[in-house]
Amino acid sequence: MEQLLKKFNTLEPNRGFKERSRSFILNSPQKGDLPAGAFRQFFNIAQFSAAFGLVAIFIFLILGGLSFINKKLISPSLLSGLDSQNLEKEVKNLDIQIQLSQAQYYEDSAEAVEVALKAASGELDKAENRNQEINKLLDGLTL
Amino acid sequence: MIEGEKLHIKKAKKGNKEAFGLLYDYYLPKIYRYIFLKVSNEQEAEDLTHEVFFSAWRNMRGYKDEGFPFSSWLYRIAKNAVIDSYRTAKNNISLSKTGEDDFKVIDRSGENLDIDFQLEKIKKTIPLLRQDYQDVIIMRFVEDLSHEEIAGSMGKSEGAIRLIQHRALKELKDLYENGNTNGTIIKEV
Repeated sequence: MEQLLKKFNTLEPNRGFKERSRSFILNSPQKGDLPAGAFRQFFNIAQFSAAFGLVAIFIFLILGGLSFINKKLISPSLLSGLDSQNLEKEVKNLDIQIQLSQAQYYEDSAEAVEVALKAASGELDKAENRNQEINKLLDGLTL
Repeated sequence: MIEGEKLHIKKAKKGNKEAFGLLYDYYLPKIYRYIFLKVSNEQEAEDLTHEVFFSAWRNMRGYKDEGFPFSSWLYRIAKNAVIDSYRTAKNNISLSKTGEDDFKVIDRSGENLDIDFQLEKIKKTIPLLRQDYQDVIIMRFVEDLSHEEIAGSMGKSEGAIRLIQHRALKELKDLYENGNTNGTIIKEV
């Protein structure tokens, strides 16, 4: 039996099958292989992403630089003015300052007027006294 | 085992086609015979053999040397391919499908007609055995593998292989002598 079984060892597959199968298998990709052109595709995607990223960074730096220049050199108040709350506070403070200066002005001017009035009333008194003296003198002359 | 097999395997794992081609050339007849004697159909044997080597090439990167010969890995793939073929529509193949040309490669000159008859009878008897009996009979007596190699491909100990070999040979002889090859196939998957 063993000797008969050994005779099967001469059994061979068809040559045509062997060639077809071999060629097909060796022209197939292995599991884990990247498909053809995958590296190129990956490179293209990476290139585009890198370019896009650089442009974004560039735009950010330009805007940041312009903002810095605007804030620090050209118009320091402009950016702070963009804040409506700050602006409102500033406006309110400005209003109060104006009112206070007006009150001060009114107070100062009232004192000046008072002084002037007093001075004027003193002059009037003097003029009244003079008038009385003149009347007395005229009365003396006429009598 | 072919000369420099480990180097060829190493190269094939990295996708070297020539290296795998050498392994393919060496192991194709062995795997084909193993499958053919189990399925008893040339066309199906070719299809399954192709599947085995295609799967081996595809999964070559994942191959790990576990101390067994490379052939053990291929036989394991082949065994699973045959089992899968039984589970699909190809189940219960009639032995009548076996063509007379199946042994065209075997020398038929002179007094070999009697041997041809005996071989044909054995070929029809082998698929009647249990799967593990078939495996051991083919690997041990047709392919002349060592018990260690068979143990590696079947995931069993060498002692177990010797025991299976003894029982398989006895059952094959019984079936052969009793002529119980009427086309009924008993397959234990």
